[in-house]
Amino acid sequence: MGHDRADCDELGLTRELTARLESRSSTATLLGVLNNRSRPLRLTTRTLIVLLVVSNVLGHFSLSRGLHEVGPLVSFAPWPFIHAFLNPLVAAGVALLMVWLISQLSLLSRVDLSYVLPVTSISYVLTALMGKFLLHEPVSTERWTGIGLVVLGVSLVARTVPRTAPVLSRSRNLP
Amino acid sequence: MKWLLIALIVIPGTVADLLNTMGMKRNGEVCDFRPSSIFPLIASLARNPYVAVGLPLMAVSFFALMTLLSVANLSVAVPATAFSYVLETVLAKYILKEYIGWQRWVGASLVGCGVLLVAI
Repeated sequence: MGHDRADCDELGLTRELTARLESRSSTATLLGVLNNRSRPLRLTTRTLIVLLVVSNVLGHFSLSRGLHEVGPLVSFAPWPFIHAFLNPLVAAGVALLMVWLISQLSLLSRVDLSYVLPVTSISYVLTALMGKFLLHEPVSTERWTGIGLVVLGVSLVARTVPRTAPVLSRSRNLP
Repeated sequence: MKWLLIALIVIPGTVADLLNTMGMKRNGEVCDFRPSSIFPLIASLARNPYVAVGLPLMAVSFFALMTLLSVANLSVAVPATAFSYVLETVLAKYILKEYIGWQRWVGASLVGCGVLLVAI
């Protein structure tokens, strides 16, 4: 990571590709490429997706575990919340969810919302699998079907060009 | 009460995602993730008007979900969040001007159905 510009320009990549295609082929082909072509995804973008999914799954997991240990929080006084933060699982959960938030916003600065939402929903699958293999919760046929549908949906969306949205205005890293 | 909470989950959550995306696209692609650059990044996000409205709305949606889960079971809450995958794809097309081909339509619908089945 760092300031390597070549590793930081999802829109530039999309533009370059479309310009190259526009110069020599029909709109139909262009749309075909925007629609369906395995495209190189920038390394940092891929890292952000992994970081987002892992921090989301582990963050919610440790937060709910921790809050379960602490007990119900029904108070308007700050003390029970401060007390809850002293629980290491709660503190770890909150820290992980902050990582999640930063990576979600960084990802949205680089690729489309309609790409980020479906692709990161793979975290539902990870949560279900973690329940099965770590907590030995049973997974019903419905849940396996759901896991299959999510994986299918994610693999369809992941094949599209990650960024098609135009630059809205001021943009530090683009020409 | 139940429908009010569902509205408080879906509407602020959707608006928050749209605002955060607009704000972050205006911010420019974030590419420096060294620890020393994280705080300047947070400071610039706090000054970004879209993100400054989007994040509190995200919190409203989150606390409404927590409240709904404490008064109703998961089978009430999840269809609303699953539906928002398709809703947000539609809004991304018309408001954010993203190009949504058939893969994204079908993919978002499959993910919505899958999330529904996984969570129930």
